[in-house]
Formats: sequence, C-alpha cells, structure tokens
Amino acid sequence: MQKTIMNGNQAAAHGVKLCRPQVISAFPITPQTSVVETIANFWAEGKLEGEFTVVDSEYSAMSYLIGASYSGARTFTATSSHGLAYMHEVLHWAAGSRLPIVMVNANRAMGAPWCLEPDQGDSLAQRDTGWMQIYCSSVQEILHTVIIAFRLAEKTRIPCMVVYDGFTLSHTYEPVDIPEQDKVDAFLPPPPEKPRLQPGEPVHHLPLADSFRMSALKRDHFQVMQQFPAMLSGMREEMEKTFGRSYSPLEGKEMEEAKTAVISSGAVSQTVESSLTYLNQEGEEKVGLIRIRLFRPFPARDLVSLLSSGVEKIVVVDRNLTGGSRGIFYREIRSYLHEAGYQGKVYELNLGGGIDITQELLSKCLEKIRQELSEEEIIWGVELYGG
Amino acid sequence: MPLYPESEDRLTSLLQATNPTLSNYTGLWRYFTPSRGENISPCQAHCPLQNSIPGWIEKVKEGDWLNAWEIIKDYNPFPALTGQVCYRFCQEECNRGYYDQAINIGDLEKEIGNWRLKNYTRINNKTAGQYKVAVVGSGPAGLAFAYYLNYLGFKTTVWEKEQSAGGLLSSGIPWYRLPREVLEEELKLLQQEGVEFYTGAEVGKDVSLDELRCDYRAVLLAVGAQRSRKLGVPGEDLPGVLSGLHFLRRINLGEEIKIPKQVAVVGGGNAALDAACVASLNGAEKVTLLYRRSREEMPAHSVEVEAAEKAGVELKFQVAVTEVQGQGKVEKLTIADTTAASRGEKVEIREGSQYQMDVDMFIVAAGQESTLDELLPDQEINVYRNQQQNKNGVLVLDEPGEKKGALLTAGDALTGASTVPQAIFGGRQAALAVVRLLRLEQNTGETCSPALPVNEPKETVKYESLNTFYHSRQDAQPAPLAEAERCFSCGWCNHCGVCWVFCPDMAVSTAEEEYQLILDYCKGCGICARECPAGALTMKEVDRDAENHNER
Amino acid sequence: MVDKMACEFKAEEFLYSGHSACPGCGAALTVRYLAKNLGGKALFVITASCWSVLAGVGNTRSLEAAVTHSPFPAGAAVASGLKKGLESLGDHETQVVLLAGDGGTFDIGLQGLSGAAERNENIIFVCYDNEAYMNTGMQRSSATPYASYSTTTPYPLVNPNPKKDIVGIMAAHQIPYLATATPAFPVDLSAKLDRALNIKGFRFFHIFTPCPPGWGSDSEMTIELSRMAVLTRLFPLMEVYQGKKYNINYEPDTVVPVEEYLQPQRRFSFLESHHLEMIQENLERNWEDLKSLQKR
Repeated sequence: MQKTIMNGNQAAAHGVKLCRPQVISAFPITPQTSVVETIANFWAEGKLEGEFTVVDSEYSAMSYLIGASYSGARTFTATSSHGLAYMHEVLHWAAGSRLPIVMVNANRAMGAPWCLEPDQGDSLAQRDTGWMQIYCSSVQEILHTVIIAFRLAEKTRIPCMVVYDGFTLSHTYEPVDIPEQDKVDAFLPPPPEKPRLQPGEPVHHLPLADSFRMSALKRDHFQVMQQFPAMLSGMREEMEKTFGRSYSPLEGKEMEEAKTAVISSGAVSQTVESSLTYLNQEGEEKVGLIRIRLFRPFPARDLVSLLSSGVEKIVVVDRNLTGGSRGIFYREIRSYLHEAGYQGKVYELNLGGGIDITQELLSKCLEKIRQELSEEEIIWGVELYGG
Repeated sequence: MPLYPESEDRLTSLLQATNPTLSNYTGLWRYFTPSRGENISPCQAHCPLQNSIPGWIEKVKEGDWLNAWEIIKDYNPFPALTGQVCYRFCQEECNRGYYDQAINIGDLEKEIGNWRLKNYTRINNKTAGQYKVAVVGSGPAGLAFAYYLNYLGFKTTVWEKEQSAGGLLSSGIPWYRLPREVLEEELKLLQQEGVEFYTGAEVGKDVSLDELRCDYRAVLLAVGAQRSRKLGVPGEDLPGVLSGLHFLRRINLGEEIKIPKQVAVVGGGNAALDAACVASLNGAEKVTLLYRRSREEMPAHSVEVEAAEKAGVELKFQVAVTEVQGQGKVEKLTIADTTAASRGEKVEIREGSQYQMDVDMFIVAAGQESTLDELLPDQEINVYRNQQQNKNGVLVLDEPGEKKGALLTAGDALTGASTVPQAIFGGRQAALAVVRLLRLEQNTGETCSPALPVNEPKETVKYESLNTFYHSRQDAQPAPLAEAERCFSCGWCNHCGVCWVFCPDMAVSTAEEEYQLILDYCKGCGICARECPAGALTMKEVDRDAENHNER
Repeated sequence: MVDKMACEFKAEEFLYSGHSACPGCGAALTVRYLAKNLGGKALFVITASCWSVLAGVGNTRSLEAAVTHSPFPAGAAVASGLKKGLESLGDHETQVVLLAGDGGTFDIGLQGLSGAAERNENIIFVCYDNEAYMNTGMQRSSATPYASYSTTTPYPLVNPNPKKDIVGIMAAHQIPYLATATPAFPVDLSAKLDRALNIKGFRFFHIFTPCPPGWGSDSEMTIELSRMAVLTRLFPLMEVYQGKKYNINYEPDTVVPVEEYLQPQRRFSFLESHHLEMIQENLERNWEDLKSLQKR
C-alpha cells in the first residue's frame, strides 16, 4: 500500500484510476475541476486505458456516460453545484435506465448569488433522482468510496454519487493509502452481465412504458435500494482485505451512554468528532456523534441501532436549506426517528450557505439546547457567529 | 420481499421490448384502399379489339416475345397483319403523345406478329375435336373465328369462294399496305395448326347453306360487304366503269390490267382512296378523286388520304358525277358542284355548274353493302334486318337445333364496311358465342378475351393523372425494346416497383415481383397511387359493411 | 429509369409494418430507408420526437435493430458516448446512428450537436426535419419556415423568422461529411448513406420529411411535396466535405414555382403577397450563395 498526501479531488481521481474505467466524460466546474485534470494527466501519460472525452456541458457529460453505459462500459464523471443541477434530467434517466454509473460531486452552494462555499444543497436537491448518495468525511474515504461505489452500482445497477465538501475536502491535503491494483481488481471484477445494446441483436431498449410497467420498475428500484445497508455490511470482510478498514452506512462515535447525539455528514463530522473529547470533558451530558455516510438509501435500521436508549436530545446538522421547509437532513431524520419510536427532542443546527463549524460553535449550539428550546426553532449557525 | 439479488430477466423484461409491431393491424385504419385495374389505358380503350396493349408492351420491353404473343393472341391473333394495315387508333390517343411522341404501338405489334410467324406454332391437341364448325368467308373475321375455335379444340373448316384465301386482305388492300408474304405466312400457320381451307368453293352455288348447317354444329357467315353501291347515273354500265372493289381485286390478285392515262375515282372512303392510289402507282398519268362532300367529312382515314396525295392523286371536293358518256366505252364524265352538306344530309346539285371531264377509266367506290340477303332464307333475314345497334360484333341468326348447326354472322357482313381490327373483333366474339351456344365448359377467358362489358366502361387514364417524373423526354425509338421502354403503361401495373419503394408501411410485397398490396397494414395514405408512373392504382373508398360482413 | 429505382434497393426490410406512424408519414419512410441501408450494422439512438413513439410502445418494437432512447437535448451526447463505449470495449466496426427531429437538432439539441460535431465524434447524426415540434402537436421550432402556421404562432400571427440554416452551422463545424436528402430521392439518400459508412468522424444528415397532419397536406402528397421542395430549389440536395467542398447533387432542369409547393399545404394558407415575395427572394439568394460556395 502506497502512502502519500493528496487532496480530495486527487483521491477521487486515483480511486477511479484503480477501477479501470472505460469511458470518462469531463467538464470543469469549481471545485471539482482538478478531478478531471488529474484524470486527464493520467490519460495523457498512458496510465489510464479507458477513453477520456472533454464534453460541452455537464448535461452532455452525463448523457455521454448514459450512452457509454448502454454499451456495457464502466463510466465515470465528476461535477459540482450548478453542473449537477444542469444534469438533473439525465440523472433521472440514468437511474430509470438502471445504469451503474459512478459520479463524484464536490458540494458547492447553488447560486444565485455565486458562492463557492460547501453548502450541500446541490447534492441533496438530487436526492429524489433515484441515485445512491454516499457522503465522505475524509480524503481517504473518498478514494475508497469511489471503488466501493462501482462495486455497489454494478451489483445493483443503480448509479452512485460520491459526495464530499468542496474546498474543505476537495482541496485539502490529507494522508492517503492507495490500495494495490490487484487488490482492487479482486474487489471489483468486470461486470458479468450482457450490455444493454449489442450489435446484431435486435432489441427495443426503453420503449414507452404504461403505468403498470413504470410502477413495477419503481417498486423494483425501491426494493433493491432497501438492500444496500445489508449489502454494505456483507462486504465488510472484503473491504478489510482490500482497504484495511471497512465502511458502514452510519458510524457512531462515543454513542455509548450518550445523552445528546449530533448527527452530521461530510467534513463537518470530522470537526464534531475531534470536538467530542473536549465537549465530553467539559459538559455534563455526554455527547456522541452519528455520522451519515449512506444517505440514499437512508439506513434507517442502522440509525435505530446506533441510538442508545439514553439519548434525549439530537442535533441534526444541516448544511442546506430547502426554502419553504427546513434542513433536509432534519426533516428526513426526524421522520425516521419517529418511526423508530424515539421520544426525545430533535433540533436543527443549520449551516446553510456553507458556514464553517468550529468547536466553539458546537459548544454554543449545545449550550442553546440545554436551555428550553422549542424544536421549531432552528439554531442558525450564522447567528451563533454573531451574524 | 427482498429483491436482491435481482433477476436480470426481470429487469430486462421491464426495460426492453422484443415483439415486432406486426401484431398491430394498421390496415384497419384505412378509409380508402389502393386498387389496381380500375382504369384502362386510352390505347386499349380506343382499340376496336380492346387489345391489352400495355400488357404486351411490358413483355416486349423485356424481350419476352413468347409471353408478349401469349397476351396479344387473346385479343388479336394476327398482329403481323394488323401491324401492317390497322389505322392505329391506339396511337392517336397515346398519352405519351402529350409528353413527347406517341409510342409506335403498331410497329411493336408488327414485331410480335413477325416473331410469331418465324418462331412459334402450336399444334392443337385438345379433345373438343368432336365438334365441327365452319366459317363462310376467309377475311379477317372468318380467319379470327377459325383461329380461336381451332385453338379451343374445334375441328374448323373455312369455305372461301375465291381461289386464294384472305378476303379483302388479299383482294382489297393493296400490296404497299400489306405485303403478300405476311398474309401467306399467316394462312400457312393456320393450316399447320389444324384449320382446313376449301378455296374456290362458293356457298350458295357449290354447296348450300343448309348442307353446311347439317354437317357443322355452327356456321359463321363472314362473307363481308361485297356489293358495291351504284351511283345510279346514266352511262354507269359502260365498259371502263368498274367498282373500286372489283378494280382492287383484279390488281391484287395479280391480273394484268393496263391502267389508262386518265383515271377518275368517285367516293370518299378507304376503298376509293386505295383505288386512286393504286391506279396512280400503277401507271396512270392523272388520277382524280371526286368526293361529293368536304374534306373534313371524308370517311377515309387520314393515313389513306395522305398516301393518295403522296402518290399524286388530285382530290376534288364538293363535286358529284351526274352522267357518264362515251361511245362503246367511257370517254367523258359530267361533273357538277354540290351544295355544302354534312354527312347524313342529302346532297344537292347546284344547277348550271356542270362541266365535262375526260377520262379513260372511271372507278366507282361509293360504298359497299353486305350480301347476306343473297344467302339467307327469310326467317334469318328478318333477324338480320331487325337487329338493333349491335356492339357485340356478332349476331346469332339461328340457335343450334338437333339436326342443324347454329348460324351466326360477324364482320363486314354484319356491320357494313369497316376496318380489319373491327372484323377480327367480330370473329372473336363469334367464336365466344359458339362456345356459349354449344354449352361447353371451357374457360374461354384465358384464350379468347371477351369484350369489356358494354354497360360498364372503365375510365380511361388521363395524361394529367400520370406522374411523369420518372421518365425523360425521348423521341420514338426505332428499336422495339427501346420503344417499348417509353410506354407509360397507363392503368396497367408494369411492375416497376415504385409503389414498393415509397410505401411508409411496407404494405407492398416484393414476392415474385408482383408488388401485391398487403392490406393488413395498408393505411390508405395514397402515396402509391399518387406516385405510380402508370396511374395503375386508384384509391377506392372502403366499404365497411362489406368488410364487416366478410369478417363475420 | 423507372424500374431501375426499385432495383437499387435490397428487398429485405428492417422496419416492421404495424408501426403507428400517421398515414403518409415522411419520417417513417425515411427511417425505412435508413434501416434498410444500415441493416444490422448499426445501433440506433432515438431522441424525443415522433420516432420515440414510432419505435414501438409497450412491449413492441418496429425496428429490426438494437434501438434505445435518449432525453431530448441529450441525443448527440448519448450517441457519442455509446460509440465511445463500444470502442473502449474493442468494437470499432459497429456504427451508432442518432435519429433526432428538427427540435432535437436545431433547438434544444443544438448544444450537444455542436459539441459532438466539434469533437468529431464518430457517429452518424440523422435529423429528420418536419419543420416543427410535431410529436407534441405542431409547435414552432427554429426549423419552421418563414410565414408558416404553427400552434404557437397561430393566426393572425405566422412564423416571423426564416428557417435556421443548419447546413451552414454544421459546415462551420468542418465535419468530415454533411448531406441533405429527402424521401422522394431515395436512391440519392441511399448513396449518401453508403458514402457516410465509409467515412470516419462526425457525419450529419439533414433529411426533409413532409408531415401530412402537421403541414395540412393530403397524406398522398408526401413524396410529391418532398420532390417539389427540391425542384423549387427550396431544399437543395447537396453534400459538404470538411465544411469546405460543396457539391450540389441535383439541379432541376425545370424549376417549379414555389407557389406550387406552398399551395397544397394548409400551414401556408395565411400567406400574403409580401410573405411570398420574401420567400421567393430568400430562395433565390440562398441558391445563388450555394452555387458560389460550390465554385469555391
């Protein structure tokens, strides 16, 4: 295993190179651009055997992959924010076609106005397209997750989006282990099935469907996605062998006997995690962290099992805001908690717009909820800063 | 219920379709159905034989002379003859004439005939031979009758009073219009194919009609219209005055006639023009044709008129002969101007306009009449005299009895002087009539095409309705195959495949290059009918009731 | 000349009867020729257009070929990706053909088309142009000709803009091969497809396909209108190689007056004389420009 230092974008590129992709399409957008630049370098140096095409827009980038995937090729692209939004229509198409496409998305706020901060609203706005969404919290995780994403996607024929914070992860250097190629080859064999379109085999692929066919497809899609958490768990040993560690849909940190749980995703979780020691030293009530990795499909059962019986307060960290509603994670998790029979309070810490989290901010937030705070009130990160 | 691992077949069946759309019978959408054979070409419509001209032209185009013959013989068994002498009513109406030049149909017909004479004989082996039939007269009507009944297996005999057979083909039509060899070849073939000829045997003199009717199950009187009309003027019986028919017969049968210097011919029909032309070509210095009406009203065909003028005959119109004068032979004619009168009206002489004309020979070709009344007993004469305007070409004078054969008449004997193809038509119709009368169950539709029903004439294809885009302008071609290529094939599918090329629904089948319509899928858009270069397809309204009824 | 046309085509069909095209559909006929020529050699991608439905609904298919669909603007990109995918898997033989309507080419598909053309993607892009968004009921597109009726430029409006010059646009991309064709000249179309099969790189076909319900013409007139478009010189049959070498394939001996072409179409029934003058003027000018491009 080669140990090196790289940033999130480079990690994504290295991850994808190990997967032997056959068609990659590329279009630049801050902050993912260096993903495709790194891949371009690999390709120019002959280190990548697949085809690399710079296309005319993100819409075309995804459409390109759809076409390539029809032929049975392994496909990849990277995008962000407005680029992701631009390909919204074709994200639906890719999922509906049940194609194993993998894409990385570096979170960046949707304008207007132009903003380069790591708001998660761009990827979350696509949560209904039928794609898997996995949120990474470290650069190492990005590299591994890209490989796992291909495995999951090709097994289930559901496209997968690997999401990480723009700049905070995409441009930040961390130490990374690069797994050996033969280990990755063992973990990720070529897809066994027939391609959708084969020359010389007449077939009508994706004819106009009636409601019965469509409903059946939707139901199947749902049911397959329900299996993911179990799939991930089932791959634990293999992940240990290949990566030296395994990944689960949700991760709990210091959740035993925790009274307050902070649920977060992405780079924010790193800060929360590193704050836990301090917080638990100082505070009366124990605070734990539940880190969301798999968001689509949401691993509700795993959430339930991580919540120890003593948890009374939950703070959901949202780095997004749906106008007319509130943080997306808040709303979803709250309903899962309700299903799970959770009786305690659920609060929202809203860092929409990409507000950075610090230990201090977290303290302030926990302080606030110690006072009698109505759940309806959103704890605005920007207010806590004094803004 | 857990779906993982998901069955590939299940996903495939939801995301893919494999059944061809053939299960969707789009033919049910149709309001109009394309249909062939609704219209007829103008050439066929105007041919006295309703000859299936585009049909055999298609075969000539392919160089398939055998099948061209097979088609044409059902309408006209003597194309070598008609190709020479017919006035080619077809060419006058040919739609190609509106585009560049009319197709030289007559010459193509002649080629088929010549091929047949050189290459094809069919010895009849059919067994209806117990029936014996006879025809009196070996003109075109009689010969056609003989050909068809012989083909159908009847034992056929021709009775001809002259020494050589052919009727007017031999004695009336001059050599420059019908070379002798062609007629001789046709007659030879007829004999080879089984027809028996008795020449120099006159019915009514050498054998009686009753005797014939005892020996044969059917007798056709095709004696022609051999009685020349007289002018009814004084001096008409002088030597040197002869009928046109008589004059032509003597020349054509090879008699040595010295044609004098000055010849006058009276009459306006084909016979008069023929006689004038022959006289001019045979040594007369001056030949004058005298016709009592105007040029436009002349019944002769323009072909004849042009031939006569080319031969140097002077045509005088609106003149009549009032007296023939001479001592012991014709020397002068008294000629008067006539008042303008159209055909059917009586001609009036203008008094005081008479003048004299010197002549050495005076040919009267003022019309011919049938001589049937000389042959027929009273009962049948009445049938003949009482007949209505007959379009069927044949008249049954007496049905077959136990001991007596049927008696029919056709050709000029029935209609009066007309043309060769019309006579052949008569002979053909007579043959059909005999088959009907003798209650035979042959399928004569194959070998002897009946005339189109008189009550339901088909519409002729108009030039405007043709799509000429696929043709390029080109004058008449000397080579027959190249000339046949130019034919538009009006109303007749000549298997060009354009309908197949342009059908958006693949509702035209290419099986055996017949281009049949596949009505299960035809939506009735009408592109095929619109594009057909031959105008052979017409869109007919769908009869839903009939269709529903058929389905039940 | 007549028999010869049918002989130019193979008898085998690759389009099944029973497809749900309107009677007299120019697009159905065009794809029939396309499929006949490309046979089992190509994969087809169909962009949102009438052909999305004509390819078969539910559990049926009308083409005897491997066919898939793409979203409206995505056509060129999907087809390019498909071709790239095949090549990445080692298949350099199979052709990929994209079938798009005028909307999916001139308007919403133009970005993807331009990108694919600029990259010289190795696909055949076939635009069948019925001059409006016909599948959704005849709304105007940038291919709708000047002064035509459409449901989004209804009377007393008529389409105010001239038709977009897609040939000029594609020529500007300097693609290896660009051709126009129309179903009334099927032999010409077939020859051009043969040529395209032997060229590598981006090949573009602009095929003029009459639409009887959309144009308000009789269903039987489809081929005649298609032919008249060429004979009036409104739709020249031409090829352009590398965006530079222009080749006019057919110069009519007798030019048909444009009124004869316009008259059978009810979509032009609101034409006034100034419209007609403009149409005639543009026609003449475009033809002259084309001739001078040919000489260049």
